[in-house]
Amino acid sequence: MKTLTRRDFLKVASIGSASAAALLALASCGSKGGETAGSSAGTNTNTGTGTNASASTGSTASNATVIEDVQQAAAETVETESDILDELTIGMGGFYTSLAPVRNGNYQWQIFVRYLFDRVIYRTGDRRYIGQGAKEWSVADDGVTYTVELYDYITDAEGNPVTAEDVVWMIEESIAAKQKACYAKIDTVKVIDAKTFEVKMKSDVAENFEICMASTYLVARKAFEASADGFATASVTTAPYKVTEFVASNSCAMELRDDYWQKEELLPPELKNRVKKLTYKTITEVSQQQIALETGVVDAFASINATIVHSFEENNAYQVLSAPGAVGQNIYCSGHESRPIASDVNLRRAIFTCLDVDGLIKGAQDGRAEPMHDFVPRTSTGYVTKWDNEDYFVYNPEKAKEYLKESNYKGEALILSGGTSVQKVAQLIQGYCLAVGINIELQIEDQALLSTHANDGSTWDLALSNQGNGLINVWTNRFDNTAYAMGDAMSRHDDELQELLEFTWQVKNFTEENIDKVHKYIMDNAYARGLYLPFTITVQRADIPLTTPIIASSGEIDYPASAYTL
Amino acid sequence: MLRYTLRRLLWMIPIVLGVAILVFTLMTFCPGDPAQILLSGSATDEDIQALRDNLGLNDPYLVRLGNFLGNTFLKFDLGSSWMTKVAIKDEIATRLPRTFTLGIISLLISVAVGIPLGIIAAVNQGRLGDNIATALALIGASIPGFWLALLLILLFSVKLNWLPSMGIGGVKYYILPALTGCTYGIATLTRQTRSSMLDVIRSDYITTARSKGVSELHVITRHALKNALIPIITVVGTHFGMMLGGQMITETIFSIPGMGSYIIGGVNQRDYPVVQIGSIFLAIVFSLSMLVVDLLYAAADPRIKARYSQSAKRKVKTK
Repeated sequence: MKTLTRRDFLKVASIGSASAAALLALASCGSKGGETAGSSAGTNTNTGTGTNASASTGSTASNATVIEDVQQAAAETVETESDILDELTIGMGGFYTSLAPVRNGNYQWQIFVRYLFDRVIYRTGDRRYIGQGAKEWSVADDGVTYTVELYDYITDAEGNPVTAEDVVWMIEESIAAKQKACYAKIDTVKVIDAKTFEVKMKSDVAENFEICMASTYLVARKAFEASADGFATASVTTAPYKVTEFVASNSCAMELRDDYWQKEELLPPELKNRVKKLTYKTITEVSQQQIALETGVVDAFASINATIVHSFEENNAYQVLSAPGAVGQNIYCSGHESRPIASDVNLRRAIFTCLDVDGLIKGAQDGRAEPMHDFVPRTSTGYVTKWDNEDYFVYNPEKAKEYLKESNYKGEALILSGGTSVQKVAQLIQGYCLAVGINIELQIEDQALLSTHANDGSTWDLALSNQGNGLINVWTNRFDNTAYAMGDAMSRHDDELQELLEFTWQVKNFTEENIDKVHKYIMDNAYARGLYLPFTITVQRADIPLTTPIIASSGEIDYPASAYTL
Repeated sequence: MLRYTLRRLLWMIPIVLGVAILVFTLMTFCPGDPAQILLSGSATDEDIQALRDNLGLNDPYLVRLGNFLGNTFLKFDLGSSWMTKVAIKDEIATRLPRTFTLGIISLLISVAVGIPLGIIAAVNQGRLGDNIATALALIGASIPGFWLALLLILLFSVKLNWLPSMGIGGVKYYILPALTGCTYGIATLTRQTRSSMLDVIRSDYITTARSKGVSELHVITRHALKNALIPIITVVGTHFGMMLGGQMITETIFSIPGMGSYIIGGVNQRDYPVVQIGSIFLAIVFSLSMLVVDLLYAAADPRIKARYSQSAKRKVKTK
C-alpha cells in the first residue's frame, strides 16, 4: 500500500485550501447588504391625489425612524386620498399555520388577521375600539347588558350575508371551543333581530365586552359549515381581501376584493386598504430574513429579528421603522407561602432596585426597547401618562443593599423562571442581583414545559413574563386571586389588592385616580415590576413610497391602511 | 421472492404498532400540557380543565391509547392538529411530496457523486486521487449543514443570483437544499464505496479477470463494483430514510414546509396527534425503504435471492 507522501499531502492541502478560499471569497462578496435592494417593490398605480402627512416623530439614524404615536397623528391627518400600491410582499418570522377563525388567542392581535376577517369591533393601534361590523352599540343601566347593531349589508367573499344570527353563532362556537379566555366573561348572548344581538356579561369589568367583540370575527355560518376543515386552509373571508393562495407555514397571498361589503366612505383611516395584492411569507431563519430583504424576495420584513437590524441602519436602500410593541417584559415575585420572597418585601425591593433597566435594554435588546413605568406598557388601555414622569424602582445598588440588610435573606439561591426567549435578560438579572449579594438560579425552559407551572408560584421565586394588551387584561391575568387554583398568577392571596382591583375594574370606577391607587399598591409591595417595552421593528425597502404608516395594535405596520405617495 | 416480500410487509405491522405505542407513551409522559399551550397564558384553571376534558387528556392512559390505536388503525381516522385544526392526512399529503422530492434529489446527487468518488479512491489507493477523494469525504462529513447552507445561499442566491434562496416552487427551489442535504451522504458513500471496493479489488477473481485481458473499466464496473454493492446499498437506504425524517434544519433554513418541520413543530407545541401520526408515517416509509434495500440485495447478489426463496419455502413447509 502506497503511503501518503509529504508532497502528496501538500498537493491535497493546497487544492482543498484554494477551493475553500474561493467558495468563501465568492460567498462573502454578497454578504454585505450593499446600497442596492434587489428588485423593485412592485408596480404602482396612481389613483389619488396623495397626502403629504408627516411619517413619524423621533429619529435615531439616517434611515432609522422611531414611530412614537404615529397612529394617533395618522388618524387625524390621513384622509381617504392616497395612492394605491399594486403589490407588496411582507416577510414575517412566525408561522401562520391555519386560516381558521376559531383559534386561541396567540394570533388574536396579529395584523395578518385583519385581512382575513372583519370583527364586530376593531381595536386600533392607540387602543381605541371602533365599530367594524357593528354600526353602534350601547350598554343598559345594569352595566352588563350590551345591545349591538350590525350593518345590514355585510357579506363574505362568496356573497353570503352575515347577520346577527351568524355573529351569535360565532360567539357560541368560540365559547364552546374554550380557546379564548375572554369568552368566559360572557353570561348569555342572543339574537334580537337580523341585525341586532344582545350580549350579557357576567360582570361590569371595563373593556371586557370590547375585547370579546374585538375577538369575534364576522363569519357566515353557511360558508363555514360548507368548509371541510373549518376554513383552516381555504377561508371565505369577510375582510377586504380574499385569499388567492395559502401554503401553511410558508406563505399567504391575498388580493383586494372588488365586492367588499363596506362602503369606502365609511371606512376609518385605520381600516383603509391601499395595497391591491398582499403576500405574507414566513421566514424563520434569521440570516434568511436579511437575505430575503437583500434579494428582493420580500419588500418589507415585519417584526424582524433585532440582531440583524444594524445591517440595514446605515444602508440608504432600506428604512428601519420601530414602534413600541404591545407587550412588555415584566418580572414577578412569587406569592406562595413556601417561598421566602413571598413574605419579604425588602428582598423584593432589593431585587427591583438593583436592576439597571438601561443596561438590560442594551444587553438583551440591543438598545431596541424603552423602560417601562408600570407592569403594563404605555401603549395599553388604562395606562396613566403621569407615571412616565414618576420614579419607578430607580436603579440604585446602594439602596438595594440597604433593603437587603433589612430583609431576612440568608444567601440562599432564588429561582428565576422564564422561557428560552428571555434567557439573555435572565442572565443579566442574575448578574445585577449577584452584584448586590443576591444569588439567582436560572430555570429556563421551553414554552411547553414552562406553561405547566408558569402560574404556580411554589416552583419559583421570580418569573419573567411578557404581558400587555390592556391594563385590565394584565390585572385579570396576573393579579386576580380568583383566576387560578392557587391564587393569582404568582400564587398570592392578597385580599386588600383583590378588593382594590374588583372596585377599580368596574366600568364606573375605572378612573385615573383609582388606577393610580392600584399601581401604587403593587409598587409599594414590590409584587411585580415592568422592565422594558421592546420595539416592534420593520425593515422595508426605501423605495416603498410610504408617507404615513399606520400602526396596528400588535405594533406592526398596517401596510394596507397606511398612506402612499407615488 | 414474492412470499419473502409479503412476509416482510406483514412484519411491518408489529413494527408500526410498536412505534405507535412508543411515540404515544413518550408524548403522554413528556412534560408540558397541550391544553395550556392551546389556551395561551390568560386561561383559568377551569378553562384548562374543560379543554383537557374536550381533548380527552383527562382519560386514563390505556383508554387514550386504545382510542388512538382504534381510530388510527381500525377506522383510519388520522385526526386533526389540535393547534391548527387542519386534518393531518391533508397536511401529510401536501408536505410529504416536498420532503420526498428533497430526499430523492439529495439521494441522486449523493449516489452520482459519492460512488464514483469512492471508486476513484479505491482504484487509486494511496495516490493523489485517493487522497483528494478522502479529503473531500472528510470535509463533507465535517461541515455543519446550516453553515454550508448559508454559504451556498450567499454564493448562488445573493452573489450570482442563479437560484432562489428559499421557499417552494419548481425543481430549482430544491437545488440548494438538496446540495446541503447531500453533503453528508456523499461523504459516507465515498468512504463506504472505497472501503467495499478495496475489499473486493484484491480478490482472486479480479486478478483472474485482469489476467484474461478484460478491460480495467469492465473489471471495475462489472466484477468489482457489483460485488461491493451490498454495504453501499445499505448506506444508500439508511441515508434515504434519514433524509425523510431528519430534514428539519434544511427545511427551516430554506423555509420549506415539509415533514421535518411539521413534526418538530408538533413536538414543541405538544400537538400529540401531529407527532404521533407523523412518526407512524415516517416509520412506515422508513420500513418500506429498508424493504426496498433488502430486495435490492437480492437483485445485486443471486446468493441472497436464493436464500430468501429457501427461507420462504422452509416457512411454508413448517406450517
